[in-house]
Amino acid sequence: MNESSASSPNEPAPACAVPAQFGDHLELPDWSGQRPRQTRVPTDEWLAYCRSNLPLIRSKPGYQERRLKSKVSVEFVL
Amino acid sequence: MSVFEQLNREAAKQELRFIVIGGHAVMQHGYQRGTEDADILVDKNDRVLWQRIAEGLGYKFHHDGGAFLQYDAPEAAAWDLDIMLVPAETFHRLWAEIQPSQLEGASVAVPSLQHLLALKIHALKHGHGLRVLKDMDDVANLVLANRVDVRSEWFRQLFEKHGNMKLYERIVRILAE
Repeated sequence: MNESSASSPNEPAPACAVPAQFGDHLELPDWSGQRPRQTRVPTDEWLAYCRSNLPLIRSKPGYQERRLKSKVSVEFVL
Repeated sequence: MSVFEQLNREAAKQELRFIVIGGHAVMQHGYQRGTEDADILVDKNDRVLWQRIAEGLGYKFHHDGGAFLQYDAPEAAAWDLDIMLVPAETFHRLWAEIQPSQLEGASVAVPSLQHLLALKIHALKHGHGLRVLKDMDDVANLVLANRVDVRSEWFRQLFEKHGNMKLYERIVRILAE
């Protein structure tokens, strides 16, 4: 029996429930030898892709709060 | 028409200038990463004119942070627009060393690498939460992409002026690993 079936039907489900068996049997490869490399996608194509994702990103909870916190209110002086 | 083409057109009408900063500028300096908005930097004396331009282009006012203004995009798949306001003297110093760039069909100005790093280090010093991770990542990757010697005097001085030595040591340590 997993955790979700053990909980009361009146209790709200966690925002992002992880199945109890998740992670127990995963055998993940060792990626430590991976070499970083630069993308070959032209910048404008990449930006078009980023823009296409904006509706999804904005639909996520807390987007506006994150956006507000992402700015620095101290004036920049050179 | 991209937001940068629109901003170019409207700025030209009023003889205003702007510098593209943030993720778009980072990409122009060789580090390609995701971004969710268009950030521009302007002379704060032109604040009211830029507010009119943003609203005239259909952007909806979102927040006035004092040193910046935030606008929501007029369309679902358009960048939100953030306008950073700086003193006139700072704007002129940045403008004197801009790097001309092509971005989404528009000819724009982005800061020189040194000035972009200065902006990022300023943000590292004064930013909070996840913002710090993003700026740390930007600084480290700009250093790598442009083969900056982190032990060089000019790089260290950027931290002395716009950040602090603790941040400098963190960057040096990260890049040494």
